[in-house]
Amino acid sequence: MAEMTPETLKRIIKEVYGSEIPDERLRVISRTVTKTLEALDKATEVDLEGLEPSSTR
Amino acid sequence: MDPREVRQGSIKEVSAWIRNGEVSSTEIVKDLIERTRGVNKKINAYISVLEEDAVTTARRADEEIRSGKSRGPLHGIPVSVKDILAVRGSITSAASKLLAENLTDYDATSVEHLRQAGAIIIGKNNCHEFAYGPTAEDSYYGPCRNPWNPELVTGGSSGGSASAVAACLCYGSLGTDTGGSSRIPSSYCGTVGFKPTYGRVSRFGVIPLSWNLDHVSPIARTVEDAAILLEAIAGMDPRDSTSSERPVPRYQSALSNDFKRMKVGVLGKYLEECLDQEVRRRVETAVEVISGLGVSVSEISIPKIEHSAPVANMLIACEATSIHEKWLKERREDYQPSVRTRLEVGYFYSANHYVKALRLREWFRREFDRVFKSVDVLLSPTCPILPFKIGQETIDVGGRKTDPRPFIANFVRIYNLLGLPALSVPCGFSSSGLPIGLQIAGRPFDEETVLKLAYAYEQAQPWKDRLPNI
Repeated sequence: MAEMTPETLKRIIKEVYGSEIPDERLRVISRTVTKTLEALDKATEVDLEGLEPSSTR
Repeated sequence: MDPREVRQGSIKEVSAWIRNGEVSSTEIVKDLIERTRGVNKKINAYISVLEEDAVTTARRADEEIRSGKSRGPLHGIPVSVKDILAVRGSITSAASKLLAENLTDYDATSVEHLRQAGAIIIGKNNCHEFAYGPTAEDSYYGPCRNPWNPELVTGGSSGGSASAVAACLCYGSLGTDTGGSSRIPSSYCGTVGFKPTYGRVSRFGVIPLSWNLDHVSPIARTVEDAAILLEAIAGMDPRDSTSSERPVPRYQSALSNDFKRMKVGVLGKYLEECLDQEVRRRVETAVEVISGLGVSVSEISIPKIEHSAPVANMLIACEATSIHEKWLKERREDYQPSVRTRLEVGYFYSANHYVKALRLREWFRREFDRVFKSVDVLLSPTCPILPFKIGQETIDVGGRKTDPRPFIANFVRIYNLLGLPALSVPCGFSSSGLPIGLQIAGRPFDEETVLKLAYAYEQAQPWKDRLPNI
């Protein structure tokens, strides 16, 4: 699930941020988040089985 | 000596001139302060110039050197520091209204090390607010301007550091690099930016952006100068929990011609994804030059590498939002609008996304470990596009108008994600006279091999002698 709609964003922002974000900025955020999540989805097509979160080396 | 010749000298050259009494550190500092008064109006590289402190320290350096107490090549040499590193007695603003009155009473560890090596801290550099942006356009103090053409971006976030070095307002600078922030402006301003291995240089005293990806990075006009700066600031620091205990090599000694058996990999995917064909051609030519040095060169493919930048972006976003959470609630209007938007993005990733990104980091780490069994260094362009106009909304890519900003850091972020050493060295100029950077990356804690190849390439080319006419 890589989609982050403006409606979802609005709900989250009110809950965690305590304020509304104007629609124009929400659209920018929505685009950024959606694109990043799509890339994350594509990247995780690789086999992550057995891989723990990496710590700093 | 001719002040222009002194300004344009390398750290090693100027150090020798000071030791031989041909010029004094005090004369140099006064000349650079005077020059900065004029040039800074054009390029906005400095937020503050530490005039009084710099002159006092330079006088002390001259006395020490005259009495035979030389501390090495940085003794009496003026350098600058990005305004997100603490410098005792200065405002450390992070180019933000939020910290415009943040007077700091201590030195970052890297600054402390520079002072111990005898360097003179001449000023604090402008940058992208809180180091959170790849252009250095969005600063409370106005945009950083490129010394090759002040209408263009410097690249960021350490834009003021790279432009001050390129414009000969100092001999080197400390920048930081969380997602390319020393290498991007070095590519755009024609300097050398060197992000060392994570843990090699202490982060203590740096206003954080992302604990996992922040690095302190020297910026200089030559590879040798970058090696001198790195050698001074590297080392274990108990005040940084991620600091490495590995001994610091003599980086200057690495700059030999002993590289003939080196195996060099070229990241073909990054060449393919170059949006500007002039950049691609220049980097391909650089690869040919490097091949001509006698090393073996092969093309390397790493699966999914095109998705590494978004993975890094997500980690940065989550950590930056956490760091800024209090201010986002209480003083959100004081941020630059674009930086505020970037920070707000971090609210919309889940814990699952964050952990997935960390697991992907481990996956990429294993892939790079595999690749580094067959090659010693990896080459790519530093940036896929040339510097563009400050505020420019779109560039033309294959007939399609698109915002250039999301592309700038595509080739550099993987090395923040993995904490690997990576350096940008000038590899030529566009037909419009703008510098282009070649990125050289290496194995963890193998800064020496990266420096060795960068130095050999630099010596084989004329680019380090070309300076902006400003």
